Amino acid sequence: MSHVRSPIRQKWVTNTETYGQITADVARPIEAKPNLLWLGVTAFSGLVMLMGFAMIGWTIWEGIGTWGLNKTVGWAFDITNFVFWVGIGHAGTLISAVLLLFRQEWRNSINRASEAMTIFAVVCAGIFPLLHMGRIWLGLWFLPFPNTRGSLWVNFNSPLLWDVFAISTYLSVSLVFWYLGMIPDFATIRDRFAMKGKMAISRIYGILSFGWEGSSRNWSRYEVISLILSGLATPLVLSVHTIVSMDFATSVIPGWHTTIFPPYFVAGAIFSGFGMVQTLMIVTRKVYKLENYITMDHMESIAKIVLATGSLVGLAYMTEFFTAWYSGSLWERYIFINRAFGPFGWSYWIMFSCNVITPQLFWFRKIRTSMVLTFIISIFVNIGMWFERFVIIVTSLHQDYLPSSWASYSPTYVEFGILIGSFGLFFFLFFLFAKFAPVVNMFEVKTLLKHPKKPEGLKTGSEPVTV
Amino acid sequence: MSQPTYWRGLDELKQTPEFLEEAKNEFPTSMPLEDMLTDKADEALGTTASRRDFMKVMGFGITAATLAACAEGPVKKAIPYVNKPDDVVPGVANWYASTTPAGVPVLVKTREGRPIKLEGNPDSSHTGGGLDAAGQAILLDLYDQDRGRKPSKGDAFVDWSDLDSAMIPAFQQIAASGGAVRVLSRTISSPSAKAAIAAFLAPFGENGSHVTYEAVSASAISQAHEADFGVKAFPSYRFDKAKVIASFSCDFLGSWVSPVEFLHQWASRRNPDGAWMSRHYQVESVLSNTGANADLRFTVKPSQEGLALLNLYNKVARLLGQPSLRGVTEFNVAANGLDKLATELVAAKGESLVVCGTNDVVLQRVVNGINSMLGNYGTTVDLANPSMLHQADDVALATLVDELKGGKIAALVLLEANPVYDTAYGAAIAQALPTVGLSVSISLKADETSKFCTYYVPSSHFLESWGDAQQNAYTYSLVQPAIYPIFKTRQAEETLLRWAGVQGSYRDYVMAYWQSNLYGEGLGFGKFWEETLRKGIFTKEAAVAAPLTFNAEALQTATGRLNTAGSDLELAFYQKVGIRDGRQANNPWLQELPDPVSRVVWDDYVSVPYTLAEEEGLKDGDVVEVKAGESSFSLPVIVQPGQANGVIAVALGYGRTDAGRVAKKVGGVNVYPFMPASGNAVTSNVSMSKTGGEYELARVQTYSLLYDENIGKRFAKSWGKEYEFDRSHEIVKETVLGYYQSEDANNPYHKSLKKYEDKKAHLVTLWESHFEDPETSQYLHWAMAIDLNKCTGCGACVVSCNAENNVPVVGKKEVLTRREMHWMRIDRYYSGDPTNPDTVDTVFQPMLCQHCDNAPCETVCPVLATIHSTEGLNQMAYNRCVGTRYCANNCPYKVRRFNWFNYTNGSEFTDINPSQSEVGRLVLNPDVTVRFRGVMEKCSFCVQRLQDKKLRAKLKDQTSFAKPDPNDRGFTACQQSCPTGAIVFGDRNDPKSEINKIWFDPASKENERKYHVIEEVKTLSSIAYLTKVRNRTAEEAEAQAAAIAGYKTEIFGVDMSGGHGEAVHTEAH
Repeated sequence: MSHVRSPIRQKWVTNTETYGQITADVARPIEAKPNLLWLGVTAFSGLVMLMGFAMIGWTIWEGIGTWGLNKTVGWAFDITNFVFWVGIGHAGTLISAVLLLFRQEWRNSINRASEAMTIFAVVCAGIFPLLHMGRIWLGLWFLPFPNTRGSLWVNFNSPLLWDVFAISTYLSVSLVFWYLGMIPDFATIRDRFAMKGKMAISRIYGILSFGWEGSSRNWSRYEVISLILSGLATPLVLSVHTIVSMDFATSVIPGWHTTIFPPYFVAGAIFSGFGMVQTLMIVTRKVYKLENYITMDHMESIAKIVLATGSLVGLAYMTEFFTAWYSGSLWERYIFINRAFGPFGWSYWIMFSCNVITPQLFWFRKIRTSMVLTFIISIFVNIGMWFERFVIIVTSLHQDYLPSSWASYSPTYVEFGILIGSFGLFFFLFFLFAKFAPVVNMFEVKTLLKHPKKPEGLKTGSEPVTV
Repeated sequence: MSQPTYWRGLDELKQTPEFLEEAKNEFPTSMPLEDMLTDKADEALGTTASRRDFMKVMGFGITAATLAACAEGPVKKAIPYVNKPDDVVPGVANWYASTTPAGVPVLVKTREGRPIKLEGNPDSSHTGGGLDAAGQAILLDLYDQDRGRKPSKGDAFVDWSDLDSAMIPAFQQIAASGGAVRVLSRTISSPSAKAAIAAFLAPFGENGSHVTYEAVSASAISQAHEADFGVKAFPSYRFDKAKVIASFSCDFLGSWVSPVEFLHQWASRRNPDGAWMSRHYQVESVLSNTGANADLRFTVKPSQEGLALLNLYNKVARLLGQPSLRGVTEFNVAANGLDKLATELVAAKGESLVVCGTNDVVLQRVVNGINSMLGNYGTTVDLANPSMLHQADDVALATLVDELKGGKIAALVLLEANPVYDTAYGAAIAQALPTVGLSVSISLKADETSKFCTYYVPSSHFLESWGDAQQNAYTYSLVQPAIYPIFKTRQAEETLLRWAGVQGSYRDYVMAYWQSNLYGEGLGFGKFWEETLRKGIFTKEAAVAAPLTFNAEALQTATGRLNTAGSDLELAFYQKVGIRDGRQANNPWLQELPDPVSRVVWDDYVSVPYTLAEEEGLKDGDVVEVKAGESSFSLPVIVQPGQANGVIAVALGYGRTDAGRVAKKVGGVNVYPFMPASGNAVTSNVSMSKTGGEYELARVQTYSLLYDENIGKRFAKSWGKEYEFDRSHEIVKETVLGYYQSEDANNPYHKSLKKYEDKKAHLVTLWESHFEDPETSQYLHWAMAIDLNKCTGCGACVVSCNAENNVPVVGKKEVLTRREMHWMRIDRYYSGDPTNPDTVDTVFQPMLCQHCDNAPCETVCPVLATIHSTEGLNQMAYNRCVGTRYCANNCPYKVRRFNWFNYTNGSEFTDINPSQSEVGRLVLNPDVTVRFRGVMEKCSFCVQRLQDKKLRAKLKDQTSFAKPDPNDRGFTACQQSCPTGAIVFGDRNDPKSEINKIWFDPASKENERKYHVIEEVKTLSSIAYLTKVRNRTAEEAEAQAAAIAGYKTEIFGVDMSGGHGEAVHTEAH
């Protein structure tokens, strides 16, 4: 990455002098023996995941009736979880694709883990559209393939079908992008194991690295493809959650039927994704001692994005109320008043305080630089964004048009089990990733290490320099 | 490799001479083959069995096995007919005319030999072709797995032949010894059954008699007529001839005597565009289904009802210049309602009707007096042609109980009677029964009474029986079996005749009875019988009414006995529309039928008036202990607006212990022991206290208003009065006759029409609708119109739909989680001031799939499982459905139902869902798929019936495209069953059809009243609702609006006047 850069700009790598040290720091957890902490948390999240699978099994065996849904509230935890996890994924794509295109160098140290987060979040998300079906064994019917059932085809009018395309596209592009980025690092690890004489492990990483040689041709192709992929992934950041929001926006239910949903959902997705990035990074940099690569400046930048998107989301909440009032439609007005002050008002205020009020604390530098407070706020953001989807889905449905059908909703242990199990799955996958793959993109971080020396005879320190 | 040499045995190896010898022979000679085939076999085989024996044993074995295989065994699999009966075509229904035990003529639909649906007989002038919920559900009683299957004595089963040979001499002996024999039955309207009972009782002469009782008795009416006119009979009421109806605690539209008949009569005069529309006053304590449909309703305590009637008598007498009753305490209902009522009754002299549902002779005599003064006898009250549908005789029952206690009865035969459960004498009878020499309970199933009887004898269901029925003096109908008895049962009449020594089938007996008693002259009896059996009904000439004289002085004497002392808290008993007197408590269709008023299913409860609940801090589900006299019971509470202050009410028909597994799940309290000898309420010594317990009552509707009171209470004061979010005019439209008939363009009705017209402008859409395309207008387009003015919310359509469409019964727990599966529901909303029960108005709105032409459900289904037909139907392809529930979420009417569990298999539903029992399964309609779990379902407009009608039209016209009869009233099951004809269905593109006029003809008044629910969503619903028009004057409407505004003003803390009927109209999105 050769471009003009100011020597007074902040350093994204601190206390590190050599490329070798970066490699050693990042590769250390992979080369070390698994410690008790890692074994413990991985086993625990694995157990939680298995519990979630058991609940999924019970749902499939017994029927959706094991959940707390009813004739009025046909979706609740299932689609809430789906939208929540898809939203989480968005930060990874934003970091890896959009920030790459905008040449935000600070993305280099966090993009790997964020992309992993994206993949695992989308895996978690993918469970729910399948699981919420009454007859999951017919899930294949979502796919438009030629079949023997006459001219039976899918309904291209249905936003659920758009979801299928959106999510599968998103998963495949993100997966390729993520994996592609790891190839040079896998090659590094391959070589290190080979040097240590651990040929078996080296061979595995050799396969994973697709025979990377580090040649100029390799690098040239790598740069081209990652640029193309980031170009492909960028619209996905906007499109996936736009399409997810259309599940609601195209319906006729007040509270769902809203044109603000696409931007509102995208902002919310990035907000929640960065919240999750904060949660993961604070733990990762601490446990793996990567403070030199994921610096306080990184954490501050992330916090600023959280602040910005959180404010956008807050604006959207208020705009919704304004629009409901301005529309003059009693149905619209009612659903929003009921959302905030009706039987599920508590969930609205959890959402509002977590998503709008807490991120405002990031205006303070002291809070941005306090990892404890940032961690707590990031958890609040995660909770708040889960509740946002719950509020949108449940409060809009439970008291819609005909008062005769108004009903309440309360989840069962099965729904809680599946929600918690999805977190188990997410963290289980993330822990495996953190152990066996480099959590920081080594070669991209190395590009940030060497800052150019001031050229001879240059008088002012602030003048740009070409590297 | 050298080939080794093999040897067969040591003999060969050794090459012994014997071996060499044997090897020359092809067959070994050591086997005694010769001997075996000769008589030397015994020696050869060392046995004594000969070949002959072998053949014998073998032959016996095979024959025995063959015979054993021929023995009767259960048939596990259906087999096709080898010789097909002439009248059974698989896939084609056969219809038989019959009559339910309640006297409603019906047509029985059978498929492949099993009845699957009951429908009102459209030829009946008595009912007009409707059928009520209980009548629809009686079909399921046929397939009740708890039915009696064999006669029994104590715990031991008895064979029919043994039973007969034991009973015949037993009765002969009683006859010889002069013992008293009583037959106790509920009302038997069948003349031939009465003849059979008479034949059975004949040998006992004076010592034998037949006593008729009813669980919920109206015996006072016939007693009062005996006292006043010397005719002990239950008159026929003609609600269709009454311009003013004054009903005192009489639930004639819901549960009283003959609801189908009364609904039919009442509804025929509820058309605001007819020559006249009846004006219905209801004075009652409990909000009954009838009261909920009245034009003006006043609440009184049960103890005040007598006063109200006496005062009404005097007011009418004064207006007519006749002598008043003396010594009457002055009493009036709210707003001097009795004066208004008296004036209107007198104005409609001879065309008015006063009825009273309270079983009190004095009250009924006052009613007779009023009707007599008004000249209603001979017009609206027909004593010359009395009704046969209620023959209870409380005096005879009381005498019988005394006789039983005195040990004077030698034999008691109970015919479908369960007095231990459903009379106030229950305990006394239970105690006395074991002392009776011979007690026989003949009924459909063993019940609370039969366990105290010597014998229990199962009877056949009416669908397995021959018989007849008499609705009134001149209307008869026949009962014919539609299925061979499922169990080893015999119909009760035949059993009695057999014991009386009469042989032969009961069919012959009925025929003989009709030949000698009903057949006049003409075509010959054979033809007459066949014709009547086919039609099911037979009408004679009505008798002409003779003038009656009423003795006011005798009434004056009688009124002295009237007890009008009340107390602060009174306990009223009433029947629910579905469960009625508890006879059908084991019927899951009825248990899951929501009560029209409380919307509760599967539960028994105490209704507490709103004000009392506020005072006592009671809320729905709080368990209270009610003490009446010495006994008490505990039940959960529901808060009931519109119930008289100071009155709590409990339904009869609950707490059945021996009715079967479904009834057992319901539980509740049997309150028959609390029923007083006269009247339907306990008026003194009643107290109620909280127990602190809580109970979850399953209700299908938990919110009862059309605006959100909770939000209004919080925001209306500070933010403005529109914060009640009153959207009622989008859902239910109602007005009053005063506005409706007025020419004034500024009254609220005409203003709302104007607003509606204005609104049509923004119902214009950007998108073309192919249903407005002239190309498609040549096809059929099915559509429905529901007249809210005629719908009483009785629930007949709901049960009819359940039966027709195999709707699963899901039980209390699933209803609690709001997962009832009913395709058709009847929403009930209140308006008015709940603190003043007289102002509480009720409106019923049947809600089912609207078959929208712009269906929101259709666009969102990812797999095209729900699609639109060219005939305007919103179709569900169950096989294609993957169960995303997106369609249900996007349905503005919330009429889609999801199969949360496998109801046909899940263990939770075993006892309650008929499709899980071997017998119950027979009720399923083979034309409709039983849905699997994970599949969405909903109203299909009975597409199977529509297809049938279309096919029949094609067959009839022999063309490939034919339209069915436009005015068929049996297109959908709900339409067919509706006793009031509130549902109009048909092809709206057929100019000859009624629905076409409602839909498109601007000259038609129905078209003016037509609206669609939440039309602004532009779903283009195929169901139109017709505005409800209450028969009220403009002043009464204003008073009601003021009452509502006053109440809201109080609870919201902001002036809410001018809101009703002129609610804030807003623009659609």
